Amino acid sequence: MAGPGGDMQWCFSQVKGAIDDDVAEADIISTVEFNHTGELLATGDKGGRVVIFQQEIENKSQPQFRSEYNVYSTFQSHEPEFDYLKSLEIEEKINKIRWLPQKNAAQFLLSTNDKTIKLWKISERDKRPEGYNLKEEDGRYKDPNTITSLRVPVLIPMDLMVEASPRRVFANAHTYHINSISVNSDEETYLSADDLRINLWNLEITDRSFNIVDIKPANMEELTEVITAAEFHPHQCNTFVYSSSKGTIRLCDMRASALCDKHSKLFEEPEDPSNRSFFSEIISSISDVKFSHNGRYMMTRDYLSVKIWDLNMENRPVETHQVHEYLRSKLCSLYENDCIFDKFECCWNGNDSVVMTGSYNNFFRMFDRGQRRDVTLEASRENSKPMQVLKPRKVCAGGKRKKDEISVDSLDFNKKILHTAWHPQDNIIAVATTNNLYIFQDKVN
Amino acid sequence: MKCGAAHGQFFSSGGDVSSGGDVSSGGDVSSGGDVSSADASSNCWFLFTHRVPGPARWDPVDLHQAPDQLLHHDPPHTPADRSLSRTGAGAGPPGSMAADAQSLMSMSLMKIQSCRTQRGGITLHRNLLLSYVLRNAQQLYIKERYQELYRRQQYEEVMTVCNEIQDLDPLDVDVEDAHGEEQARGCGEDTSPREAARPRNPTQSAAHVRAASSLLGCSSVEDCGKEPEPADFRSCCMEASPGAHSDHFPGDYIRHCNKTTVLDLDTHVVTTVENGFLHQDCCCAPAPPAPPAPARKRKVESGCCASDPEELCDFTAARKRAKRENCCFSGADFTDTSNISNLISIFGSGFSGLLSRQAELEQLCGQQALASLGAWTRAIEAF
Repeated sequence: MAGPGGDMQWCFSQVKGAIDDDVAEADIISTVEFNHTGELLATGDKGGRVVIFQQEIENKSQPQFRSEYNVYSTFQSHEPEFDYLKSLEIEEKINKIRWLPQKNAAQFLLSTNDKTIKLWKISERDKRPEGYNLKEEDGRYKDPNTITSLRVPVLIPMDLMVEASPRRVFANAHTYHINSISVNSDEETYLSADDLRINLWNLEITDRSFNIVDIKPANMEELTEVITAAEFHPHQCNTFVYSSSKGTIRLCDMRASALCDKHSKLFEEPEDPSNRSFFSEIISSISDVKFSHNGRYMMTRDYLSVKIWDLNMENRPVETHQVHEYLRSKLCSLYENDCIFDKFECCWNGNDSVVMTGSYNNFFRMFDRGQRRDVTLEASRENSKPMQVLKPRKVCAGGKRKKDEISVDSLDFNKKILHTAWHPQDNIIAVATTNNLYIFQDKVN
Repeated sequence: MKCGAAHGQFFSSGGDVSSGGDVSSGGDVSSGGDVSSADASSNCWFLFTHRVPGPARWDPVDLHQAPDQLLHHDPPHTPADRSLSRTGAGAGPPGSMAADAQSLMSMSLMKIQSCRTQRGGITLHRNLLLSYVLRNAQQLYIKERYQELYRRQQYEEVMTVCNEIQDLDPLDVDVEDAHGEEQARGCGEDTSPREAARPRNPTQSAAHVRAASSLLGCSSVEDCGKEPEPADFRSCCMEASPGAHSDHFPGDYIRHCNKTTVLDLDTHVVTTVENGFLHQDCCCAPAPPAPPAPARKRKVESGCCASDPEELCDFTAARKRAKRENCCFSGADFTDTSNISNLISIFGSGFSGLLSRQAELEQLCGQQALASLGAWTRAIEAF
């Protein structure tokens, strides 16, 4: 059955992570991000670790396989900390990873937890020097009296070693929890956003940042919304957007003023009064905002839907896609088990024709904008045979359940896909379940 | 994140109001409302568009007895889902909607409380969303109670007239008084918002206060026992316009209310407010509100420890202006009285902040409407 994007059929490629059903808290994946070429795939987890996978050179003998992703580097990015002044523990969970565009042989990425952003340099070392004059091979210093000749050390090949070293630590700039970071297209600055403020940093300077948005009211009693996500425009270095818990998105132009509290554009869709409920505020809170690659559109994810906005039209989105509308009648139960607070992310494919987001029961959804089709797929160990084609899934909202359909009440709300990523150029997707990373690719015909 | 949690596990609490479901007659529904197993669509309640006809389900006599009942037995540990996973679409009779709102409120408060013990500290976003649910539930509850009261009042008026016609005794003042007394005793509501509340049953309010004191270990509550119970809820109105109500309610007791300590996370300025009544938009104040109580500010030097409750205050004092008794006594595991008293102070600021400014509710925000919540909040407190 043809899926979105023409005759795209998604096949299982790989799964990373433990098979255990007993999930260690530290292994829970908290962010997934491809780099700009798609060669590297980074994941962050609740334990503060970053694992980077690298796509191997294409396997010539098996052309139907695209290359596999194998572990490239693993390092501990953040450690748990304690704020003594406020008696608060600062979680080491990696909230976001963002890659910098590559400028030299090394790769750079920004990773952040609730309070601190770090710039990591990931570099390869495949040669080592040999033949020092003053040192033995094991590092001990020679007695200078024994040296009778001089030689030039030479570089000899060695096993590839990937080193990750923290180059910058951007700390102490956020009172509230950081939810987003975004690298500017100027490749010199980036923004970090917490619940009430957005700061602009220079990648070289760690001891200061500019505050560009501050929505903290003078009287905290008047607080009505918080910032939930922020992103720079992919091409315009002066433009960024931030979403709020009230379901609005504000586009700001940094040329207008130093403090961008006054938005340039406000994107808001009026609420449908017939859908009003106790939980209206929760489900309208935007959990993720992403610009399209071409910079013309942006996508927002709230609890039940994905909306695509044209930057030129503020009063309503151009497209709204329901992710799991069958949950609308279950909001009470979802509130009870806290699932209603889940923050789903969303992503575009390389040419902005398809968008993807996650759901429950390890389902994820793709919406083809051009063909106006959508599909529900599942990331599960049962469908994990190499190149096994994923069968579309269907959820039965009520009434008679057809064969192969799943009823809403059978959904496992502990199995949620919050983080997904799409390769910037190819049809390869990375889908994170609780502690496993699934990689799917479309079948090359 | 509940990784190992059972499928669709519910938030089981000891202090669920609906577990004392005898009080809220008609509020009980099928149990086992697991998301995975319930066929029902557990519908959300539509706040402003839904009107349910039918007789009122609240029996004022029951309400009158409720606090004593609840004080005397342990809260059963039933899952909190009972009233939420309803079968059938749409809401049930009005009493049940109010009961649902109650359980939602208690659940929200418990979630707010549990946020404090989470790793990583309090998340502003989550608490904001919880406060919205709390506010929505409270709005619905007030609305429902007021409607029910109005219906009962109409019904009783009709009955009274019928009785009069039957008895041919238009001067049967006793009957009317009895009705009025019962009403006031039961839910502390009057028909006319402008009328002062009738004197409450002193035994009842005293018992309430004693219970409150013993549960909270909070000395400042004891002084409030001097005053009728509804006055607690009206305190924000009282503070705002003492002139209007001074005939009936001396404002002395207000001074004994808790302090609110607010720590600004950015400037590290600690503000201690004597009364907690900083908020100015009490919607039932006819006169401009009185200026806030003097606040003491002190700069926190390094080394001063701002504990969790204070950080919570920084934000939640703003959002959660429920009544004092509203504060999370639905949780069964309170061992730290200082935590309790801080939470009291959070919610001690009166109700005005959470009520919407819609005209409809501004009418409802009469003293009597607020006071009517006394019964169920006492129920929460008992746990």
